[in-house]
Amino acid sequence: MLLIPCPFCGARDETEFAYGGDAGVERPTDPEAATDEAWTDYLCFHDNPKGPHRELWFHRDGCRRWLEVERDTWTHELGAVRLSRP
Amino acid sequence: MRRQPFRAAEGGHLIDRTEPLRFDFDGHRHEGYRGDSLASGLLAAGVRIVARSFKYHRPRGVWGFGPEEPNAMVTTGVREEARPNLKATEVPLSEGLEAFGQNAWPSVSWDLGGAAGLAGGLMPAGFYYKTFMAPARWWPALYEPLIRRMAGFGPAPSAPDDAFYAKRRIHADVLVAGGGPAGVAAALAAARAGARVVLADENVRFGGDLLRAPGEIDEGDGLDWIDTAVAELEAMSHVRLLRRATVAGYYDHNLLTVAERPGGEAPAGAPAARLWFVRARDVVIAAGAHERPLLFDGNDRPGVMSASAAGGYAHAYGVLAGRNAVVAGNNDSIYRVARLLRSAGVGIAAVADTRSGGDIRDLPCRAGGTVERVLGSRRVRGVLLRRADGRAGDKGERIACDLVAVSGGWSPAVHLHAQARGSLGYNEERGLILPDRPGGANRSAGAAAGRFDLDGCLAEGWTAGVAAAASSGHERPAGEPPRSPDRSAWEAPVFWQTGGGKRFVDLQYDVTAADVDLAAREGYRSVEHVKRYTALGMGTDQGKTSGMAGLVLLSEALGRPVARTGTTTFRPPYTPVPMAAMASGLIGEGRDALRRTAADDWHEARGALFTAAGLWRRPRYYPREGMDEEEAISAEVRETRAGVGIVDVGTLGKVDIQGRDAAAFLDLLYANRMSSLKTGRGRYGLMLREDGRVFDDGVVMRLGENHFYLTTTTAHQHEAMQHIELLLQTVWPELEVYATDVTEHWFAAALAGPGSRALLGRAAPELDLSDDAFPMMAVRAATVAGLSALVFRMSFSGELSYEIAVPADQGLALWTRLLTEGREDGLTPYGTEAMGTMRIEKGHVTHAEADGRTTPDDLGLGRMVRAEGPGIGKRSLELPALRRKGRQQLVGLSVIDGEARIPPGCQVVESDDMKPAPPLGHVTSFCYSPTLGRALALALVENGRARTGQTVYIASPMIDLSMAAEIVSPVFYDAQGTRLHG
Amino acid sequence: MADDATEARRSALAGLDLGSRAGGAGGVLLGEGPAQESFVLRGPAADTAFAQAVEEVLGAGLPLEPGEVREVCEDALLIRLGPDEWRLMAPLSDDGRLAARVASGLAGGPGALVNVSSASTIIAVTGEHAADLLATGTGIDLDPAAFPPGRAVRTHIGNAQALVQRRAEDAFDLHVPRSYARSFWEWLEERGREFDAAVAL
Ligand SMILES: [Zn+2]
Repeated sequence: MLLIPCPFCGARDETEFAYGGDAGVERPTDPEAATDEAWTDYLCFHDNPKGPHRELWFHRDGCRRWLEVERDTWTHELGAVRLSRP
Repeated sequence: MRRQPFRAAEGGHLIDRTEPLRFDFDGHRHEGYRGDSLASGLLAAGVRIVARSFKYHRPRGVWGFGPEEPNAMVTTGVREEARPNLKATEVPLSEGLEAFGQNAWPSVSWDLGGAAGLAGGLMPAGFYYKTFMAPARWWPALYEPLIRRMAGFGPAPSAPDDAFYAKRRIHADVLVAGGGPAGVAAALAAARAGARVVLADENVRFGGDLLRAPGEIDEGDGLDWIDTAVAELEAMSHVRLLRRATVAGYYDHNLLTVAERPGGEAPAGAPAARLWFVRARDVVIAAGAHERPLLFDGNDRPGVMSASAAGGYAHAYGVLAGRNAVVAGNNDSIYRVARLLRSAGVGIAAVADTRSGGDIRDLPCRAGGTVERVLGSRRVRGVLLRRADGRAGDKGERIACDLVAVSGGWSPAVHLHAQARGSLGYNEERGLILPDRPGGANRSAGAAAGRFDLDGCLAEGWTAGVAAAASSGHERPAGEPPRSPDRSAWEAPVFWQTGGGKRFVDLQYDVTAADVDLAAREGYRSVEHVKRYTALGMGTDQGKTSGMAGLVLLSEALGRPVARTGTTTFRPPYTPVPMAAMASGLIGEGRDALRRTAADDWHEARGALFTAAGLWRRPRYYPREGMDEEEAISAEVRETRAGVGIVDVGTLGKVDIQGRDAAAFLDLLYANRMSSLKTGRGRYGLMLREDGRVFDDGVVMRLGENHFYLTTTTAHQHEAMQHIELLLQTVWPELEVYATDVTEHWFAAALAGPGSRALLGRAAPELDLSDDAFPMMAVRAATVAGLSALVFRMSFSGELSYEIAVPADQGLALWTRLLTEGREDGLTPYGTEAMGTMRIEKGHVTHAEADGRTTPDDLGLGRMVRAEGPGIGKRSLELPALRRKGRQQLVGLSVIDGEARIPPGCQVVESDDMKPAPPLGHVTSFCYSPTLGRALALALVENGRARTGQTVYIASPMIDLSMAAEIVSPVFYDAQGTRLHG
Repeated sequence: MADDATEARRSALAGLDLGSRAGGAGGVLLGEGPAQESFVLRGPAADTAFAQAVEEVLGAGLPLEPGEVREVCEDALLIRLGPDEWRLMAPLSDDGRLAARVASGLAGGPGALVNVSSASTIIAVTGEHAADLLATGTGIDLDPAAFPPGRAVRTHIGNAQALVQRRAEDAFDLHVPRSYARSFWEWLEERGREFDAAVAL
């Protein structure tokens, strides 16, 4: 079980969090102006790396903040963790 | 006959001779002492055959001393109390203990299945795969039961286990796995440095190898030193000592499980087992080493035993594993064992050392000699010794004995290191697999790291303890590490085997050297494949004694270096953990939360039948005297539509939204516009996922300029909050909006039916309920039944309806007061079935229709979507896939045979010929409508709206059902909505 | 007027009839704490206008350490639960004065106040094994060095989310969502068997 160092609450068990997917996906700032291709890229085509990955975790049972967590999907080693909105 | 014929007159630091215990083994009464293990008790009683082997049913005795035991598998208790697959070495003796040897019927000493063993090579490697191949249909009925009866382990208990099992989660700066000299030294160093320490050991007493053989530490007895250190640790409030507790699993981020089996000496009321979860900053792995066997013909006979175990039984329990011993091995530890046995009263017939030289004058040494074969069929009667170098002309030497104590060297217990994804290295010269780079914050010390001398173990343990404490910021403690004059290295050649015959590598699974050879000849190259093909190392001992032997044999057979062959994966747990301990807290009372609304006690008292809605329970319907289920539900519907009904809607998700940008945010959150709402009014809203599918629906009420109250479905309370916070925190962080889940604060009940206005009018006399003053989709604060409430006028049933919300602690009062007030109106409480029936009659959607695949347009709600604006999901609605023709659309199905009942899971098809054909869609919801007097269904059907008027078929091929239905509007009842006004 | 709210109030644990089962001594005591008035206070910690407004109406500044519990006016406590979230708790009163005062103090500036008085049930866990009992179902570090008395944390225990307020080394108030309260209590009692749990008088 991962131990995620929440910048606000301190280190907490993975079970207190909800996984939120890739943190590196940028929502087009003007969706109406986005081409179908750009929009489907945003929706569907995400990297699934073996190795370092930036992902979102929601601290559901703690501070209720969305965190950006750097996690190695192979070793589960964690890198920087920050509040999505400081 | 003496009761304990093999108990020495004195000695045994683990037993209390003043407290004899009686126990039964295979129906025979024996006696042992408090402190004995079942294994030592059986040996003291002279019981040599303890179990039968897995495959050949060969008689087996005790081989080891602890969790490495491959042979002595027993079941304790009978029938419902049975605890199968225990190792006799790990079962503490207790008064009245009943135990049985496994794999044998009727008993281990007279076993019918043993005939399998007579037929030598009957079951070679891969036997099961080769024999039970085809036909496949014979597997469930024939092969599997046959294999299980022949080869199964102990019987499963016949009744639920009602013993109490416990779990505990703790944190530590340093977890020390193993309480031998290295572990205790590590714990002492770390604890003195101030670190929070957990020290766990599998035995009832700390000491590790010192339990099996004496040693000297700091110019005194080693075990005395351990006791003193343990007393010092016990006195420190930041140290926790766990006895009879094995560190079993090493998981991500230094979470380790420790399986504690209080057993034997445990105080009354202690749990049968406890599973500890320890989150440790750093871990010292001082798990020791396992003694390897020697391979010779008959090395599985009862009486052949690990040398250190034989010495250990004498030293720790005062038990003689035999009267006359041959000690054989390839390292110096055999001399220590020989002397221990001799001083306990065992005759030493010979000490055979495979290495030349090293002749010890006071022992009958056979330098350069080894065991070739065991004599005796059911137990050891003697051995045939031969020169280890195989010199020609050697006729060998027959020596009578009843105990063969063997040592093939030592394998460090690298399991935890490897579970933590640490890398392993093979030291060719020493013949050892050793921990290399650690995976995570841990360090191995002592025998687990390949240090076999007491002085080295102490020094390494101390150093590891200091370093482990430092990783949580604790400075080096004062004082010096303990010392010992013992610097014996016990270096051994890799491995020793002799001759042919039945040479067992894996005693538990009956895997022989020939099996490994055969696997190699049949083309197996990977050690993982050989493991599965031969079952080597797959028993409950997980190859603790056999792993190294198998690896060397395979490498030899393949003609490649051991380092290239590699090991199999070390997976947790290190030693079996009772399922009941893992399940503790996850079964029985309180396993899952059951959420109850404020009116739950009333529903229960009224005899409601409940249904699960997520974690909530909701009344499904209220049974009535003399009515079946459908009649009772229909009565609830009829009485509501004709008069007035009340339903508990306390489970709906509720969110308070405030902030300067609240209205702007809701325009982004919902597909329809919310910013145009006037204060005091509400609107039905659709939340989309970013991919354009309907995510959730509910009502948004504007309570003030910057203050809204919205509802979500019961199912999506938490997901909706998570979604809202994601948008506020990552997509539009510049918006000043505060969202608070207030589901738990509010209870709500809905009054529905033409009579609801009159009833509410009496309950809330200050409230003007006229259509003008309180129109549809308005919200008012009011006093209802004497309670401060929010009243919403909205409708799910299609009737005139009001939802009344009060703080949940007053929810039951609201409910009961309304029911009292409504007595004269014939107020009918109704459940989710009646609610569902009424919403189907009205064509309102729920998650059955908004199933995560449907768009607003699919559901006929396309007009709700505001054209402009960057709201969530709206851009996706423009994608070709969501606009194409042929999507499934929501329709109503009017069943031609009105009395028909539609079972769940029906498809909608074009023809009734029951031939395979792609369906047009499927039925999403169905009911018998008491209002219309016939069966109704909602369905998602390809191009459904354009098919209005067509006849299709509701089909369920599994039950050979097909019924004609007409596609109609999903709104079956009151399409004009006139009933909303009462 | 909501004149009879007091009479109308009912604990989520009322159905368990704890009063009749109270008594006995055990390694841990379970009891229901008195209902409280409780509000979620939201606002930007770094915004001086917000911080000042709070300090003016509550008579004490915002607690800024995670989990810090600060006594403010009229026996009320303010607990920091998130970067922009606090919990304001006070003894139960039906006059609505506290809420009105805070709401008017915040008016015009950023921030929000939400009444959640009915949202939680308070269960007091006390006694020698209080922390051990919680440790059967939560992964947070309950060592007093890591979680000292006087602090509060939100976490998950057993089958429910809980705001854990540590009153003393061996005394905890668990604020659990009202709808979960009864099954959470049952969970506590089941796990409490290990410590001879008894119902507090
Ligand atoms: Zn947090």
